[in-house]
Amino acid sequence: MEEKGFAVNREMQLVVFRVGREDFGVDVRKVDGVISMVDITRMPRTPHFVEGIINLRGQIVAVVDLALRLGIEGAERGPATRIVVVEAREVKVGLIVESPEVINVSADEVEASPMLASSEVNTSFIKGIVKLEARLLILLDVDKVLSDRELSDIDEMDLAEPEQPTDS
Amino acid sequence: MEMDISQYKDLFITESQEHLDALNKFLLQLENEPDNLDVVTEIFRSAHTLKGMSATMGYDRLTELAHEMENLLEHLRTGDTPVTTSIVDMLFSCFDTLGALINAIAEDRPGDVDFSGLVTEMRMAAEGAAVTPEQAARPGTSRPEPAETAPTTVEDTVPEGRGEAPELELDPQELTLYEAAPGMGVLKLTVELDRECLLKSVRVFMVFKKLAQLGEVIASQPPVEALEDEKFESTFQVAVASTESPDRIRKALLAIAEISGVGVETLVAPREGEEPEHGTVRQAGEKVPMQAARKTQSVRVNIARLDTLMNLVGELVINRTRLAQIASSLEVPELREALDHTARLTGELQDEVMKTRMVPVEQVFNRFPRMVRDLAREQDKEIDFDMEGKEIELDRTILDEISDPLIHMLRNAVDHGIDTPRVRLKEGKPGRGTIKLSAYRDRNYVAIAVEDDGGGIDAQMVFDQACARGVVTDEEKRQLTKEDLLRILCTPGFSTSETVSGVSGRGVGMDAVKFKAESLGGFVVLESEPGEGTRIILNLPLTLAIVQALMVEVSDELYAVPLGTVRETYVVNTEDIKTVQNSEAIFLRDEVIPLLRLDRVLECGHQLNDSQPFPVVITEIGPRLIALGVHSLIGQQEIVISTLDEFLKRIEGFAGATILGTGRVALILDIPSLA
Repeated sequence: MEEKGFAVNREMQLVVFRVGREDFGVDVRKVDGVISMVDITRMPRTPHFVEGIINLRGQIVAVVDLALRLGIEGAERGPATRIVVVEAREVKVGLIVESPEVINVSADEVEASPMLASSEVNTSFIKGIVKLEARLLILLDVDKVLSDRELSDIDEMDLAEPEQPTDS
Repeated sequence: MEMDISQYKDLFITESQEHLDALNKFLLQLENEPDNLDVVTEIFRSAHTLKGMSATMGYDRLTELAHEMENLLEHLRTGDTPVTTSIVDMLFSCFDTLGALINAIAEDRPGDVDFSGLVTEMRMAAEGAAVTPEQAARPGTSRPEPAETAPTTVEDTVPEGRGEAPELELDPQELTLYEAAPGMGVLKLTVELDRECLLKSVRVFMVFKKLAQLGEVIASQPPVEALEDEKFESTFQVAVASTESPDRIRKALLAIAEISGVGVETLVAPREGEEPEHGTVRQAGEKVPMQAARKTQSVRVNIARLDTLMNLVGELVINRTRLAQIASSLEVPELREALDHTARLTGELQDEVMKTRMVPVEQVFNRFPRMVRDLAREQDKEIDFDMEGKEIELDRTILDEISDPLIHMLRNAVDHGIDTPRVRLKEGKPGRGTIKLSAYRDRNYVAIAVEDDGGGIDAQMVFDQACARGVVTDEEKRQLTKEDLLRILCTPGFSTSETVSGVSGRGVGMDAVKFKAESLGGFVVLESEPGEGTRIILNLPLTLAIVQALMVEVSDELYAVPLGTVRETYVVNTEDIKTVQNSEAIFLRDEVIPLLRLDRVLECGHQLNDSQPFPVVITEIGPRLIALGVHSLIGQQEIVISTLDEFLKRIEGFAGATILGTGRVALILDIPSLA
């Protein structure tokens, strides 16, 4: 992840996709695969951005609605909607995104400073910015998508949101 | 012979199955090496044993057919009749019919298979031999018996008579160990079986069983494995340590049917009333020789029992998860330590139980050579079928489940993978195609691959067709890669299409294969190069935690309730629901059971209708009863537990998830942590 300090003209491969009106990129080495939308089983008691769980080649994997996670509005599902499976801290997570594709960028197109870019996206998810001719890519820090803080949020949510004070 | 043989039916079925497997194997070999008389002898041997066993059990039709088969084989064995394709076909039909008859016996059905035509055919083939059967036996053979009454010809190479068998020798050191035990004597028994005895291993088993009741078997000649395999003539010797009198032992053995004689020789006479010098010596005397004699022994266990054991372990694993959750909220270091230990033990227990269920894939593989051969012949294709890794072991349940998928895969390889020799030669390939079935370990999976060197699948062509049929859009098509090939082939409406030229039917059954693999916690990989061949790999998990579960539906989602916790199900009327201390409870036969409405607990949008009766599942967690309110009950089924990853594990209320037959995921409820 600290590759930005190394060799000047090194190529790097990104999986880029759209969420709402924003373009994002993820280091291809973090990506396990891209699959089409499948039936997602709802997983109760999870944060609102966890859409549910799926069966990925026999493994149970959580799927996150990235738009909800990043607080992006106006994202819609369509025929180009895909699940990009990333590996965040040794846990596989599916991210619901639009039109993923793989591109090559040279490392010097990546800027570390997560300034500006988008007023919509919380800077803690941003690892860097990639400036392409026509567009600006936000390099997503997938480890933060299910960050420790968020994980503990889940525990808290369970305590904080029992629908009603039932027995025991 | 007046005895109840029905109790040996299972043994008969198992053993005859083994002979059928051998027959199958050697028949296939014979087809490739028609001149190999050793193979004929092997086939003869199996047919002969089958005949003998069937006669013992009184299965006349089976005996008759095996006899006819043996008769024909005798001609082949002596070289009177050459092994031709039509004879091999006859033998294969025999094999099929024998299998059908044995199946009928296994299922207690009348075996009304008509094989009179086959018998006539075989007789004609045998008659076609130049010489009469009586003269057929070669002068050099020690006992030129006519085939009709050939009960012992095969074993002729083994010298008969007890004098020839090596004597049972015991290590004197071993014997001294027994001398220390008070009242314990060691006897050498020479057991002679009836010459007509056909299921010799049954008798051996009964002798050993009886001796185990009376004392302890120290050693035997021949060794136990040889006895189990019936690798002996009619006598064998056993050394037994016992406090019983020699006469009593002798009588006990003679009471077993088909035991014609028992010779007794005292090796160590019992010493009366003497105390052992050291407790340890005595113990050694009891244990060491026993292990020496038994280390290779095995026990046949009913598979249902292993399943029960497996289910119990599955429940245990679920409960362990629950305990760990409780412990984590209590912060008692000792408890945590004890739980870590329990967790490790549970894990080991699970591993061990798992191992007892492992069987070599050979059991399923063995029938494929024949199947591939028949399919190839039907379609005028020439195929070499190779198998590798038959010794790789898989959980029995998985093995049972993958038999059909493997048939699909092999069928596909023959039907669509390998072309006819003419087409292949035109493409510059050898006329004979090769299909390879291999099993191997691949990290945490067992991979079973079916590989052909046929035409392969043109991915682009499949994608074009998929697009033309509206399975994918133009835009989607551009993004498809080879990895999507399997998925596209498995798409309903595409795979079943017979009209797509060149790729027709390639996906037939592949969706079933994919679903099956995934429901077992595995996955399928398809690799194909146009012109070079196709390789389909079934990756299956090594371990499988299975548990019985009651499937329930809550707001259109399915959940699994481990059956071990379910006491009963029941439809509750709204008037039976009372509020006790701010919580809902139902009154059932004087019991007050807290009610947990799963729709609320699981935060579902669609709530139970309060004015309508709804089903509840009464669960029993230790002394606690909890009633789960659900939308509907789906039914009981066996599920495979998939563990949740580190992220999902933190969410309380679920013991894991399971992949349903549809490929969809259902959560397994952990009731205590839900409540």
